[in-house]
Amino acid sequence: MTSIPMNGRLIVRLIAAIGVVLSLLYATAAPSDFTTRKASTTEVAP
Amino acid sequence: VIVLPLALATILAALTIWTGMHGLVRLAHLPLQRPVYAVLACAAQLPNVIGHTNRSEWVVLSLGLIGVFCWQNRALPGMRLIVCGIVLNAAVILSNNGSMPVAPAALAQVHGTAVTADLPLQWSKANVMDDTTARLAWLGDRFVLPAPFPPLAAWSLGDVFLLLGVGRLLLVTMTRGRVHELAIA
Repeated sequence: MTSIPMNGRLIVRLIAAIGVVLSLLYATAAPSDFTTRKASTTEVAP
Repeated sequence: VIVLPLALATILAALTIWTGMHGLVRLAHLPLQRPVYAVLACAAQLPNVIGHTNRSEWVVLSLGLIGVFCWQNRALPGMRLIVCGIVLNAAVILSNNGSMPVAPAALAQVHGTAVTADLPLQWSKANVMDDTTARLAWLGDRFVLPAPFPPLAAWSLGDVFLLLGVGRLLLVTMTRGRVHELAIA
């Protein structure tokens, strides 16, 4: 297998692609994970 | 909040181990159209997640933006699964005034503590609701990964479709295409 160099432009494009996929997930998926907390009257805006 | 990047990182790590550097080069050339719409749709969720105000309105705005993104990228692999997931999540969220109902039993598994119903969750689109008060409760957050996996989150059916769709998108993208032409371009 030949090696493929990852230059700066490729890395930027890779991060951008992953960022868009992550944005898609955050915009549409709604899992309730272990970092969520129960809200109290002082924690949540009305 | 962090379970989504965790899930994405797991899929990416598995595919990178399988495809190596070639897969990452192919992913860098993923031909996404109008990506700004996905970013804006994500931003439109912030008032819903942080402030819990005008939840339905923000959800509708976010859905409109992500709808444009999906239409522009309808030819990509996995997009049908992704749209199925979006429709399922949108149906249950809009039926419950802009919040995703999470079953108290599922949340108790995730947090390890008993949780009473009718409580909004911080940093989340979710609202703790039992099946008697939630509309379309079967589409809400109620699935937890079985042991030996850690119960990191409660997932909805729509979330499952979304992750399968994103998995297919990444799998097909990272395993097909001529790498050398892409790397030179």
